[in-house]
Amino acid sequence: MRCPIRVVLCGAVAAFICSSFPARADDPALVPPKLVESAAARDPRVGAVPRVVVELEIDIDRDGKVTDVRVVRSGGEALDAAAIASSRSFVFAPATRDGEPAAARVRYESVFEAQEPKPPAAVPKASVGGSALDAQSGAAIAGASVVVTTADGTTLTTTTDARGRFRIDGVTPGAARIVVRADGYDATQLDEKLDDGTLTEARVRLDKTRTPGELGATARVEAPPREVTKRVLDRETLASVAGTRGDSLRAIELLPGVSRPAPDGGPPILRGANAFDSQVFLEGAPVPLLYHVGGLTSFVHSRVLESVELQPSNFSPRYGRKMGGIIEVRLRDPRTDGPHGIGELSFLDSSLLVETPIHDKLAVLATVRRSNIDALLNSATSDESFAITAAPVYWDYQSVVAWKPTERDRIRLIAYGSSDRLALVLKKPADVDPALRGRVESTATFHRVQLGWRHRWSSGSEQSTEITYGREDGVGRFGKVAGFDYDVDTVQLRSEWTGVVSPAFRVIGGVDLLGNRFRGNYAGVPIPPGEGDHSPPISSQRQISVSQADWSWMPGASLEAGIRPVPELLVSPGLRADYNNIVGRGAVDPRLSSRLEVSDSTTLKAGVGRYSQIPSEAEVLRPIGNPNLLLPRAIHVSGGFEEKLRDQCSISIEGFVKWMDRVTTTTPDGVEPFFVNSQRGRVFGAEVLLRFRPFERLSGFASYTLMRSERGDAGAGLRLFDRDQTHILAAAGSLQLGRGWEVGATLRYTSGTPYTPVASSTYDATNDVYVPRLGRAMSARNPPFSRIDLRVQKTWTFSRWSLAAYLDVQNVLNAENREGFAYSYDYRNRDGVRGLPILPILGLRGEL
Amino acid sequence: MRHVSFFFLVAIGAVAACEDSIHGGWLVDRPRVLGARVSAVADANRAALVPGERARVEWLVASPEGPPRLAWTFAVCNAPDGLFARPRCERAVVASGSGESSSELITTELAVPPAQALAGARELLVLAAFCSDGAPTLDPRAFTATCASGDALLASVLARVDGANANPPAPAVRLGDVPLAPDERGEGCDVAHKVAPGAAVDVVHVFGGAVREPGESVTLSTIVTGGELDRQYSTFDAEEAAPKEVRVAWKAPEDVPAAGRVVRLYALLRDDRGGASFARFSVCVRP
Repeated sequence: MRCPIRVVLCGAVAAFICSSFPARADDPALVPPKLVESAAARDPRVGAVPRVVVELEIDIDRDGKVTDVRVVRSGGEALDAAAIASSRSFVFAPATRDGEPAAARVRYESVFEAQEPKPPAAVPKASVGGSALDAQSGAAIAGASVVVTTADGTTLTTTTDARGRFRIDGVTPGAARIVVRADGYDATQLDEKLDDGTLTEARVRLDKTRTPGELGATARVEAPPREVTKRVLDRETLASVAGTRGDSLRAIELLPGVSRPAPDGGPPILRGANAFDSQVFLEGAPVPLLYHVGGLTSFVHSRVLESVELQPSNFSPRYGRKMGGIIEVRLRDPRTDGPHGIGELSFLDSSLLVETPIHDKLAVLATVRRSNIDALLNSATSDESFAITAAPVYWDYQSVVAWKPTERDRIRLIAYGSSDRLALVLKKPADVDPALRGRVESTATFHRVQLGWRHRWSSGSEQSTEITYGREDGVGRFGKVAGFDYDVDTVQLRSEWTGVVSPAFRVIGGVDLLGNRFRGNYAGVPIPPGEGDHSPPISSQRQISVSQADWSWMPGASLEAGIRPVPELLVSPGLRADYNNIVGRGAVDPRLSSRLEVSDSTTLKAGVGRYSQIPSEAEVLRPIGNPNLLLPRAIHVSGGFEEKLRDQCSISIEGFVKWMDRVTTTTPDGVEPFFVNSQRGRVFGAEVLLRFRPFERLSGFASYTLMRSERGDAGAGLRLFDRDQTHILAAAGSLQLGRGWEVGATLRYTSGTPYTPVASSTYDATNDVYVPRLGRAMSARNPPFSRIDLRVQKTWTFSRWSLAAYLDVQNVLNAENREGFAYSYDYRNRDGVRGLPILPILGLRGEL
Repeated sequence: MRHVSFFFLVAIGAVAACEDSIHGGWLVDRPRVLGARVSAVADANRAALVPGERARVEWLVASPEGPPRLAWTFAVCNAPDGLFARPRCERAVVASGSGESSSELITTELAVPPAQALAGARELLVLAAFCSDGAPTLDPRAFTATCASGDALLASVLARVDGANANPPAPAVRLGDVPLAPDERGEGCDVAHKVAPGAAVDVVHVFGGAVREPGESVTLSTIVTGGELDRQYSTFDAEEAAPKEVRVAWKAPEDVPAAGRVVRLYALLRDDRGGASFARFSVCVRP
């Protein structure tokens, strides 16, 4: 460390014994005083200053002490004083004359050296760096203002460079608030704990400032991703995807690794997993469905979404009980900049959303939607075979009350629910099976209410707790086939702590208790296998009758660390523990993921983990289930890289493998114990996702997956999973033409799904139906699926509101897309069952 | 439960897709087994058998050209277990037989094993194979059979060996308002009931209260060898009041020779518990 002031003794010359008097042999011998003890003069100046010399004249007595000091050449008042003060403390060896001590006078130069700006003091300092990104496109934001305010009130500012990067050094460690502002974006702030000598990385995502014609978005700062594969969908991109009517959750099906779901509109197939091996969460609470019946619409209004996270495998330890994948839906806070509303009317449904602040810390939001299908279908569809007595009716609602009593606390009350109903009458028994007759109706409704509290400490640590209560009711009558009624009360307590030990080490721990009280009655044919071969005709199946009322408890806990041994590497080891009281079994699953930022644009990632699944109640409850089931489990391994090709273009490529064992399946012929852990499975493949925005008005993404999903039944080799799709290609883009016009198109192509062909049949005289005899399991495939959707939208923007009219056409080429077969009574003939025909939907949307 | 709902909705959707494109089982367009009736030899009305007694199984077979000549063989075993049990003999065959017939009604007899041999089984599975060209070779374990050429007709029926159940009475039908006489056969078109080609007429059946036992649902199958029926099945469910009249629309064949063509009409009743009965009728379609 460099001393700030340096004093140089340049010489001491006695005035009367100076070298101008040469010594002579008869002259007395004079010896000048010698400086033996000195103190540096303190330089009172700050900042950049020049070199200055102050010349002093010092009187020294016979003892070598300084008796007087005078300025001979001034360096300025302050420096003169400093030099005098310093020199008064000098101690000299006295001068001598002929060996005797003598008083003397010397000249002394006190030198004050030039100074650069004062270097940092030896006090702790930290650094903050990172990047500012467009929340929607991920593009870097150049020229954004970054302000860091520390707890001592110090404010440091900088701006982002052309790559959106910024860095500020010399920040006082401790709590700090980082505020990023950019033209056209909402300001975003992030509270972090800064550690001495450490660079804290912050990736700040900014949402574009809303205009009446645009979809609202809430700025969000995310911790660096830990998961190997976590697709975070932004609403604005996905809301413009053709064929979804702006339904962001429908657009999940276009992402890599997502296979086409079964035609019944069930959950998406995530990386070859059975649909029921994956789980949809809304704010951390499991919900029973993603789509309304038929799969045309999701149960959450897209304008309420904060984000949708898709984790098709290697998901975080915070999620358990499933071995497929995870879809996490998050709701945004209500807007606080005044009252707003959105009303929408289309052939399919009508919806209304309102939101308003109550005061500066409290705001509310509510939306409700109901289908319009019944208004059109009830009168149009009735023939001699069947009549729709109640066309599909669905409704859903979401409500959010957000209260932020302090800057660090957020308390939210969320309520949401959904209902689906369908009723029709088969006027005559079906020729293929007389059991299919009579009244067919199904109603399923669920509600959830959640109270959540999140607190952030100045250190950056965070704690969030949610308690959720849910109720689900259903009743179904399927002619003579089956009838059921049930209700389920669900309680979930979930709490998670994020501890920032240092920027290089975070710990996330959570507990999660899920309880289901269910009561139900079922009478009818057995529950069909979740995957694989056809069941015999319904008439040939033996009827069962079940009445149950019980609780199932599923406590769970998770622990995960985020370790940065070097700033570029994040290693996240974790553990997940789950238990189920009905089977009396649990599992502790280790998981590990890592991300390495090789450069500003390249990230490598990899993960491995074990995932155990809690069997469903239907699989474990007597008399139709097996309470001795083990927990099915899977090993997930995946790895890949992400590359930013340009600011507006990125690509990610990943490979993945899943090995499954102890998979629950039905016993051959449905003999006791009905369900066993005898199936195994393997899924492997690779996927690529390309996001592009070559210019401002054109954006989109393309994905491709090459995959094989297999299952192996007891005693048999591996065969294809019944929703296996080798090739999955999807591309979506939207173009803003100007003057409020926007067009979009979506292309989807997938391999056809496998099926087991019917080889022959035998006649069952007891039930007067034919029983198919199956060929080799999954040895044939349906033709490839292809679909093109188009969307055209025109928006008129007024001073206070906007109006948009859109036409969304699904399957514009009316491709047949065979989903399976309808067989003749004896299975000798068959017709293809086509998929969704061309479906144009016209809608209007007004936004205030 | 939502899983179940999805399953049934898809199943029903598949049925709806089938209706208009593939004809149902109401037309005999090839040799077929149309039904089977199990009864005790000692009491033809009793469908539930008693261990150790002799039983009879009557197979109703039909062909567009008239009564087929068929060789047959059958095997009997305890019914397999399982909610999705498929017809095959997992256990030992307890009875078997073979023969030939040129009648629409093929009658086979068997000895119901004693209770000890039944080992608690509540049902016997009767597997039968029929060939038009020589005796079939039946593999009961796989329920496959071979004929000299072509495919064997394979049929199965369950015979209850516990509880009580009666075969329903033979169904009576009307053609429009005219009652049809059962088991009437004539030379050429020499039968009592005549209709014009392409005529639309209802096959009418009235379910009476006596046709079902308490809690039973009864299904009527209507099958013809010519023309078009609007459906095969008509049902009389347990909760429905008697009497119930059902009308199955029949459109007589249009392309018939000048001498006319005899169309056979079969009516089969099943009680969904193993009880069955059937009746055969003839109608002349002549210009």
